[in-house]
Amino acid sequence: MKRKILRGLKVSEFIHPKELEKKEAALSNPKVQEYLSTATNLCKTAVDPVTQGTFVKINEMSDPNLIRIVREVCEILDVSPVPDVYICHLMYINISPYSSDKPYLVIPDYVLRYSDEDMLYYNLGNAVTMIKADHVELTTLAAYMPGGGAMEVIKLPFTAYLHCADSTSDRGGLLACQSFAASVRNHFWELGIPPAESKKMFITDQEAEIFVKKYLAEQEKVLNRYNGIATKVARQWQRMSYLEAPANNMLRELFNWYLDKNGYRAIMAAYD
Amino acid sequence: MCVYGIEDFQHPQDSKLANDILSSKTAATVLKKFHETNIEDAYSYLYQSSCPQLTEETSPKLFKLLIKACEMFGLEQIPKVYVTRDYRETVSVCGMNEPFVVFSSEYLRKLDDETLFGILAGQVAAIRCNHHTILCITWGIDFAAGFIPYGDWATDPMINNWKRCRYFTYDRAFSLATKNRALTLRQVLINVVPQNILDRMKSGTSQDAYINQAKNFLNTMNNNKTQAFIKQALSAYSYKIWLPERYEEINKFFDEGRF
Repeated sequence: MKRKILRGLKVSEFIHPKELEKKEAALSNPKVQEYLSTATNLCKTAVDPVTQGTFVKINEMSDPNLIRIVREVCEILDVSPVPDVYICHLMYINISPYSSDKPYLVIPDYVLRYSDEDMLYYNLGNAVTMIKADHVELTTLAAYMPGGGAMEVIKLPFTAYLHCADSTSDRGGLLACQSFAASVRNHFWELGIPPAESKKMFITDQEAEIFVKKYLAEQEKVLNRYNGIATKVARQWQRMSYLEAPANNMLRELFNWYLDKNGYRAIMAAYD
Repeated sequence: MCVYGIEDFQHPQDSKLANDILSSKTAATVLKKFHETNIEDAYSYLYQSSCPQLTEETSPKLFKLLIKACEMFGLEQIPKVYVTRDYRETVSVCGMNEPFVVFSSEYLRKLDDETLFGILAGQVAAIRCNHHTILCITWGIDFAAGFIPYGDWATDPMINNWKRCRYFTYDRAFSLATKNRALTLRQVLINVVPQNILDRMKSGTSQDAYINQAKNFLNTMNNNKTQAFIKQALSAYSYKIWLPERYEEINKFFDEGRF
């Protein structure tokens, strides 16, 4: 598949509209800023032995195709320098950027075994966007943040920011792979449908659009059926406190941006 | 057929830590409880009732290699072999009075015949070194420590250190069984890196794609006090295997020229 290079692409062109506002809210407390600075350095130092001692660095010799795709994703999204790539043994479906002196990517072997190339472009694009949009430090920190007690209160503004940041990186993933179908198949993988199965449900972007529209409509019906006060409170708590937004919400966000005339299509048209 | 003695393959660190664990009062207490309550049967039952058994009929190739490994490493009783579905795990020995081997099916699928022979040699070596008993004891200690607040903080460092060092023994047995440095190094990464990439990494050759990462890690641990401290802390509270250390130990073993 031939993909457009979006030379000069800026994060501001596709960032979630509330991301910056939520980031400011998360960082407004001076105590939080202090914690952030100390904890960020600690995370960077603590993670390095794990990376160098248990993950395996991949180069052009060991996997020329993977390195080619990483370089191409960086070129498409106009990200430089190209991050180093490590593989870890993990049954996990997301590629993660790690924070160090120079950010790098960690790819679970599970992703390499079961995604096809288009899905890999999306997944890598998502991770590279996190580097481009400066998400890595805060997302790493939030992942290692202890829970319970007062921390839950400090965590709330972080999760609000993280949900917006996730949406931005989903958009970056779509811009990198330029296949709505492949992007959606990544989301369905997260929801529990293996790639081999979702490939039977839709292949083209048009088919994916029809499928997702129908799927989200059915989801809405189910949610409306369970509309008691306890469910509403649970949903709100889930939205506020989970580090990752509910997967269906993420899919809905991406779908809406894909359809929005000022969203994905506008960017692709601008880079003709 | 050469028969190797324990002194040929047990790594000195494995030997020391294993003795430390087995001679501790905690181990003696746990073993006493096991004998009194027949816990060993329950422990074995947990695996044997939930994991399919491989037999000579269903897996003739595996058993042929296992019998050969048992002859080579001086184990009279051929252990039973089971498979379990676990993406993270590789292979381990279990049980106490009647040790057996449990493979992760994901891991088993990745092994060609020669690698499988080396891995089986490692598990036979593990049984010869009594690893199955120690693993059972550590399981008992972990279980008991769970009832005491922060109880595992006292026991975990020693146990985790041993859990890491036992791989040095498996790697030595693998080396003796296959006499193939490149293959022995390759199998260290087999559960981390997909096959097609691993083939291109040319383990053990002058173009080994992993060796520089391994050397850099070891140099950093020797020269950077902060990183070394963090590694020590991580080592104490998890049995994370440091791949560069295994790489180094294998190269040292081959360089000693015992073949």
